[in-house]
Amino acid sequence: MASMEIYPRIVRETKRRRKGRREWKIEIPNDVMEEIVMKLPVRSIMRFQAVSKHWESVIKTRDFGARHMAHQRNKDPKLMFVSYGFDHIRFEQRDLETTSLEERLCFEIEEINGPIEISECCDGLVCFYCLTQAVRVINTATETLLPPLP
Amino acid sequence: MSKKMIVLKSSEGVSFVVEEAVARQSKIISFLVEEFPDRELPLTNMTSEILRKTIEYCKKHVVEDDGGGDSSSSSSGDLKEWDVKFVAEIDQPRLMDLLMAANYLDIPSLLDVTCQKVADTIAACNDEKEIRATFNIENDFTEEEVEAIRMENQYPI
Repeated sequence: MASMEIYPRIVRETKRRRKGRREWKIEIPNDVMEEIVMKLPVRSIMRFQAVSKHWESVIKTRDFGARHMAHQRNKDPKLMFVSYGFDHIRFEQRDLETTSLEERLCFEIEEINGPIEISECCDGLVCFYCLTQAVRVINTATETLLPPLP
Repeated sequence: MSKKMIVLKSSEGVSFVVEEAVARQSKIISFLVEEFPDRELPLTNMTSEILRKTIEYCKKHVVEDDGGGDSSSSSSGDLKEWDVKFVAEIDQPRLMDLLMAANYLDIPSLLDVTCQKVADTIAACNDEKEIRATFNIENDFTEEEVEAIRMENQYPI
Protein backbone atom coordinates (compact mmCIF):
# COMPACT_ATOMS: atom_id res chain seq x y z
CA MET A 1 0.00 0.00 0.00
CA ALA A 2 2.77 2.39 0.96
CA SER A 3 4.60 2.26 -2.34
CA MET A 4 1.39 2.81 -4.25
CA GLU A 5 0.67 6.00 -2.41
CA ILE A 6 4.13 7.41 -2.52
CA TYR A 7 4.52 7.12 -6.27
CA PRO A 8 1.66 9.40 -7.38
CA ARG A 9 2.60 11.81 -4.64
CA ILE A 10 6.05 12.27 -6.10
CA VAL A 11 4.65 12.70 -9.59
CA ARG A 12 2.13 15.24 -8.40
CA GLU A 13 4.61 17.18 -6.35
CA THR A 14 6.99 17.57 -9.26
CA LYS A 15 4.12 18.74 -11.39
CA ARG A 16 3.18 21.19 -8.73
CA ARG A 17 6.65 22.62 -8.51
CA ARG A 18 6.87 23.04 -12.23
CA LYS A 19 3.67 25.00 -12.35
CA GLY A 20 4.52 26.79 -9.16
CA ARG A 21 1.13 26.14 -7.65
CA ARG A 22 -0.75 23.40 -5.88
CA GLU A 23 -1.98 20.76 -8.26
CA TRP A 24 -4.64 18.86 -6.37
CA LYS A 25 -5.72 20.66 -3.29
CA ILE A 26 -9.14 19.32 -2.51
CA GLU A 27 -11.53 21.01 -0.18
CA ILE A 28 -13.41 18.30 1.62
CA PRO A 29 -16.79 19.41 2.97
CA ASN A 30 -17.02 19.24 6.74
CA ASP A 31 -19.70 16.56 6.86
CA VAL A 32 -17.54 14.26 4.73
CA MET A 33 -14.54 15.09 6.86
CA GLU A 34 -16.47 14.07 9.93
CA GLU A 35 -17.56 10.86 8.25
CA ILE A 36 -13.84 10.04 7.85
CA VAL A 37 -12.85 11.00 11.38
CA MET A 38 -15.67 8.89 12.82
CA LYS A 39 -13.91 5.85 11.38
CA LEU A 40 -10.56 6.67 12.96
CA PRO A 41 -9.20 5.15 16.14
CA VAL A 42 -8.62 7.64 18.96
CA ARG A 43 -4.85 7.46 18.50
CA SER A 44 -5.14 8.76 14.93
CA ILE A 45 -7.60 11.47 15.89
CA MET A 46 -4.99 13.02 18.13
CA ARG A 47 -2.58 13.15 15.20
CA PHE A 48 -5.36 14.25 12.92
CA GLN A 49 -6.04 17.46 14.82
CA ALA A 50 -2.38 18.48 14.62
CA VAL A 51 -2.48 18.41 10.80
CA SER A 52 -3.99 21.83 10.11
CA LYS A 53 -6.37 24.38 11.60
CA HIS A 54 -9.18 23.20 9.40
CA TRP A 55 -8.74 19.58 10.45
CA GLU A 56 -8.51 20.61 14.06
CA SER A 57 -11.77 22.53 13.80
CA VAL A 58 -13.55 19.35 12.65
CA ILE A 59 -12.75 17.68 15.94
CA LYS A 60 -13.30 20.70 18.12
CA THR A 61 -16.89 21.14 16.94
CA ARG A 62 -19.99 20.47 18.96
CA ASP A 63 -20.25 17.12 20.71
CA PHE A 64 -17.73 15.35 18.52
CA GLY A 65 -16.39 13.17 21.33
CA ALA A 66 -19.80 11.78 22.22
CA ARG A 67 -20.67 11.04 18.60
CA HIS A 68 -17.36 9.33 17.99
CA MET A 69 -17.94 7.18 21.05
CA ALA A 70 -21.44 6.25 19.86
CA HIS A 71 -20.02 5.29 16.47
CA GLN A 72 -17.27 3.16 18.00
CA ARG A 73 -19.81 1.38 20.21
CA ASN A 74 -21.70 0.32 17.11
CA LYS A 75 -18.74 -1.66 15.85
CA ASP A 76 -18.31 -5.38 16.39
CA PRO A 77 -17.32 -6.26 19.94
CA LYS A 78 -13.72 -7.36 20.57
CA LEU A 79 -12.08 -9.57 23.10
CA MET A 80 -9.69 -7.96 25.54
CA PHE A 81 -7.03 -9.97 27.31
CA VAL A 82 -5.20 -8.49 30.26
CA SER A 83 -2.06 -9.95 31.73
CA TYR A 84 0.47 -8.52 34.12
CA GLY A 85 3.98 -9.16 35.33
CA PHE A 86 6.34 -7.77 37.90
CA ASP A 87 6.43 -4.23 36.53
CA HIS A 88 4.03 -4.12 33.61
CA ILE A 89 0.45 -4.64 32.59
CA ARG A 90 -0.46 -5.75 29.10
CA PHE A 91 -3.64 -5.50 27.06
CA GLU A 92 -4.42 -7.44 23.94
CA GLN A 93 -7.29 -6.85 21.61
CA ARG A 94 -8.44 -9.90 19.74
CA ASP A 95 -11.11 -10.71 17.22
CA LEU A 96 -14.14 -12.25 18.88
CA GLU A 97 -14.48 -15.05 16.34
CA THR A 98 -10.97 -15.90 15.23
CA THR A 99 -9.22 -14.67 18.42
CA SER A 100 -6.41 -13.37 16.22
CA LEU A 101 -4.36 -10.60 17.79
CA GLU A 102 -5.20 -7.13 16.48
CA GLU A 103 -3.53 -4.75 18.89
CA ARG A 104 -1.24 -4.94 21.86
CA LEU A 105 -0.62 -2.35 24.53
CA CYS A 106 1.86 -2.53 27.38
CA PHE A 107 2.30 -0.17 30.32
CA GLU A 108 5.16 -0.04 32.74
CA ILE A 109 3.95 0.33 36.28
CA GLU A 110 5.44 0.45 39.73
CA GLU A 111 6.47 -2.81 41.30
CA ILE A 112 3.59 -5.06 42.06
CA ASN A 113 3.55 -6.97 45.31
CA GLY A 114 1.05 -9.74 45.29
CA PRO A 115 -2.08 -10.14 43.20
CA ILE A 116 -3.82 -7.21 41.54
CA GLU A 117 -7.47 -6.71 40.79
CA ILE A 118 -8.46 -5.60 37.31
CA SER A 119 -11.88 -4.13 36.66
CA GLU A 120 -14.09 -4.64 33.65
CA CYS A 121 -13.60 -2.31 30.74
CA CYS A 122 -15.90 0.69 30.52
CA ASP A 123 -15.71 2.58 27.19
CA GLY A 124 -12.00 1.89 27.02
CA LEU A 125 -11.22 2.72 30.63
CA VAL A 126 -9.80 -0.01 32.83
CA CYS A 127 -9.08 0.33 36.50
CA PHE A 128 -6.71 -1.81 38.57
CA TYR A 129 -5.35 -1.93 42.07
CA CYS A 130 -3.39 -4.09 44.45
CA LEU A 131 -3.26 -4.14 48.22
CA THR A 132 -0.26 -1.90 48.64
CA GLN A 133 -1.05 0.73 46.02
CA ALA A 134 -3.62 3.32 45.08
CA VAL A 135 -6.21 2.63 42.41
CA ARG A 136 -4.94 3.38 38.91
CA VAL A 137 -6.94 3.97 35.73
CA ILE A 138 -5.74 3.22 32.21
CA ASN A 139 -7.33 4.77 29.15
CA THR A 140 -6.76 2.12 26.49
CA ALA A 141 -8.04 4.42 23.72
CA THR A 142 -5.53 7.22 24.27
CA GLU A 143 -2.99 4.71 25.60
CA THR A 144 -2.35 6.62 28.78
CA LEU A 145 -1.97 5.65 32.40
CA LEU A 146 -3.80 8.24 34.46
CA PRO A 147 -2.26 9.50 37.71
CA PRO A 148 -3.12 7.55 40.88
CA LEU A 149 -6.44 8.36 42.44
CA PRO A 150 -6.23 9.86 45.91
CA MET B 1 -38.18 -5.87 -22.53
CA SER B 2 -35.17 -3.73 -23.17
CA LYS B 3 -33.64 -1.90 -20.24
CA LYS B 4 -33.98 1.83 -20.07
CA MET B 5 -30.72 3.63 -20.69
CA ILE B 6 -29.66 7.09 -19.67
CA VAL B 7 -26.74 9.24 -20.79
CA LEU B 8 -24.28 10.87 -18.40
CA LYS B 9 -21.82 13.44 -19.68
CA SER B 10 -18.46 14.08 -18.05
CA SER B 11 -16.69 17.44 -17.71
CA GLU B 12 -14.76 16.70 -20.92
CA GLY B 13 -18.04 16.18 -22.74
CA VAL B 14 -17.66 12.41 -23.04
CA SER B 15 -21.01 10.61 -22.97
CA PHE B 16 -21.55 7.44 -20.98
CA VAL B 17 -24.61 5.32 -21.69
CA VAL B 18 -25.71 3.58 -18.52
CA GLU B 19 -28.62 1.40 -17.53
CA GLU B 20 -31.03 3.44 -15.48
CA ALA B 21 -30.99 0.92 -12.62
CA VAL B 22 -27.21 1.30 -12.38
CA ALA B 23 -27.29 5.10 -12.36
CA ARG B 24 -30.18 5.24 -9.92
CA GLN B 25 -27.88 4.24 -7.07
CA SER B 26 -27.04 7.89 -7.06
CA LYS B 27 -29.86 9.67 -5.31
CA ILE B 28 -29.16 12.81 -7.30
CA ILE B 29 -29.36 11.01 -10.65
CA SER B 30 -32.47 9.20 -9.46
CA PHE B 31 -34.05 12.55 -8.83
CA LEU B 32 -32.84 14.09 -12.09
CA VAL B 33 -34.08 11.14 -14.16
CA GLU B 34 -37.57 11.67 -12.82
CA GLU B 35 -37.49 15.41 -13.30
CA PHE B 36 -35.91 15.38 -16.74
CA PRO B 37 -36.59 12.07 -18.47
CA ASP B 38 -34.95 11.40 -21.83
CA ARG B 39 -32.32 14.05 -21.30
CA GLU B 40 -28.57 13.85 -21.20
CA LEU B 41 -27.34 14.59 -17.68
CA PRO B 42 -24.24 16.80 -17.64
CA LEU B 43 -21.90 16.14 -14.69
CA THR B 44 -19.64 19.11 -15.22
CA ASN B 45 -17.53 18.61 -12.12
CA MET B 46 -16.62 14.99 -12.85
CA THR B 47 -13.85 13.91 -15.17
CA SER B 48 -14.38 10.96 -17.50
CA GLU B 49 -11.91 8.92 -15.48
CA ILE B 50 -13.78 9.43 -12.21
CA LEU B 51 -17.17 9.01 -13.85
CA ARG B 52 -15.99 5.73 -15.38
CA LYS B 53 -14.82 4.53 -11.96
CA THR B 54 -18.10 5.55 -10.35
CA ILE B 55 -20.11 3.72 -13.01
CA GLU B 56 -17.90 0.65 -12.57
CA TYR B 57 -18.75 0.67 -8.88
CA CYS B 58 -22.47 1.17 -9.49
CA LYS B 59 -22.56 -1.63 -12.06
CA LYS B 60 -21.10 -4.02 -9.52
CA HIS B 61 -23.50 -2.93 -6.83
CA VAL B 62 -26.70 -2.80 -8.84
CA VAL B 63 -29.39 -5.05 -7.48
CA GLU B 64 -31.04 -6.61 -10.45
CA ASP B 65 -34.66 -7.40 -10.11
CA ASP B 66 -35.56 -9.76 -12.93
CA GLY B 67 -38.47 -11.17 -11.02
CA GLY B 68 -36.37 -14.26 -10.34
CA GLY B 69 -35.12 -15.47 -6.99
CA ASP B 70 -31.59 -14.25 -7.51
CA SER B 71 -31.96 -10.59 -6.67
CA SER B 72 -28.33 -9.69 -6.17
CA SER B 73 -25.52 -10.18 -8.66
CA SER B 74 -23.03 -11.27 -5.99
CA SER B 75 -23.06 -12.29 -2.35
CA SER B 76 -22.37 -9.64 0.26
CA GLY B 77 -19.04 -11.20 1.29
CA ASP B 78 -17.76 -11.18 -2.28
CA LEU B 79 -19.00 -7.66 -2.73
CA LYS B 80 -17.14 -6.45 0.35
CA GLU B 81 -13.97 -8.06 -0.92
CA TRP B 82 -14.50 -6.47 -4.31
CA ASP B 83 -14.96 -3.04 -2.66
CA VAL B 84 -11.68 -3.36 -0.77
CA LYS B 85 -9.85 -4.26 -3.97
CA PHE B 86 -11.62 -1.51 -5.86
CA VAL B 87 -10.41 1.28 -3.57
CA ALA B 88 -6.99 -0.31 -3.04
CA GLU B 89 -6.22 0.06 -6.74
CA ILE B 90 -6.85 3.81 -6.76
CA ASP B 91 -4.08 6.29 -5.94
CA GLN B 92 -4.51 9.00 -3.34
CA PRO B 93 -5.57 12.01 -5.46
CA ARG B 94 -8.02 9.95 -7.48
CA LEU B 95 -9.42 8.40 -4.32
CA MET B 96 -10.21 11.90 -3.07
CA ASP B 97 -11.88 12.71 -6.41
CA LEU B 98 -13.94 9.55 -6.18
CA LEU B 99 -14.91 10.39 -2.60
CA MET B 100 -16.05 13.83 -3.72
CA ALA B 101 -17.98 12.27 -6.60
CA ALA B 102 -19.72 9.86 -4.22
CA ASN B 103 -20.60 12.81 -2.02
CA TYR B 104 -21.81 14.93 -4.92
CA LEU B 105 -23.87 12.21 -6.55
CA ASP B 106 -25.07 10.98 -3.17
CA ILE B 107 -24.09 7.31 -3.38
CA PRO B 108 -23.96 6.34 0.32
CA SER B 109 -22.23 2.96 -0.06
CA LEU B 110 -19.46 4.37 -2.28
CA LEU B 111 -18.99 7.30 0.11
CA ASP B 112 -18.68 4.80 2.94
CA VAL B 113 -15.96 2.68 1.29
CA THR B 114 -13.96 5.69 0.12
CA CYS B 115 -14.17 7.34 3.57
CA GLN B 116 -13.04 4.07 5.14
CA LYS B 117 -10.04 3.91 2.79
CA VAL B 118 -9.09 7.49 3.64
CA ALA B 119 -9.48 6.74 7.36
CA ASP B 120 -7.29 3.64 7.00
CA THR B 121 -4.67 5.71 5.18
CA ILE B 122 -4.68 8.31 7.96
CA ALA B 123 -4.51 5.59 10.61
CA ALA B 124 -1.47 4.10 8.87
CA CYS B 125 0.44 7.38 9.17
CA ASN B 126 2.91 7.60 12.04
CA ASP B 127 2.58 11.32 12.69
CA GLU B 128 0.87 14.47 11.49
CA LYS B 129 3.74 15.25 9.11
CA GLU B 130 3.11 12.04 7.24
CA ILE B 131 -0.60 12.80 7.06
CA ARG B 132 0.14 16.25 5.63
CA ALA B 133 2.48 14.79 3.02
CA THR B 134 0.00 12.09 2.00
CA PHE B 135 -2.93 14.48 1.60
CA ASN B 136 -0.92 17.45 0.40
CA ILE B 137 -1.98 19.71 3.23
CA GLU B 138 -0.20 22.85 4.28
CA ASN B 139 0.76 23.18 7.91
CA ASP B 140 -0.80 26.43 9.10
CA PHE B 141 0.08 25.93 12.76
CA THR B 142 2.91 27.72 14.51
CA GLU B 143 5.39 25.63 16.52
CA GLU B 144 3.74 26.83 19.72
CA GLU B 145 0.28 25.80 18.57
CA VAL B 146 1.46 22.30 17.69
CA GLU B 147 3.11 22.06 21.08
CA ALA B 148 -0.12 23.21 22.75
CA ILE B 149 -2.09 20.47 20.99
CA ARG B 150 0.48 17.91 22.06
CA MET B 151 0.28 19.04 25.66
CA GLU B 152 -3.48 18.98 25.60
CA ASN B 153 -3.46 15.35 24.59
CA GLN B 154 -0.89 14.25 27.08
CA TYR B 155 -1.71 13.10 30.52
CA PRO B 156 0.86 13.05 33.28
CA ILE B 157 2.06 9.54 33.94
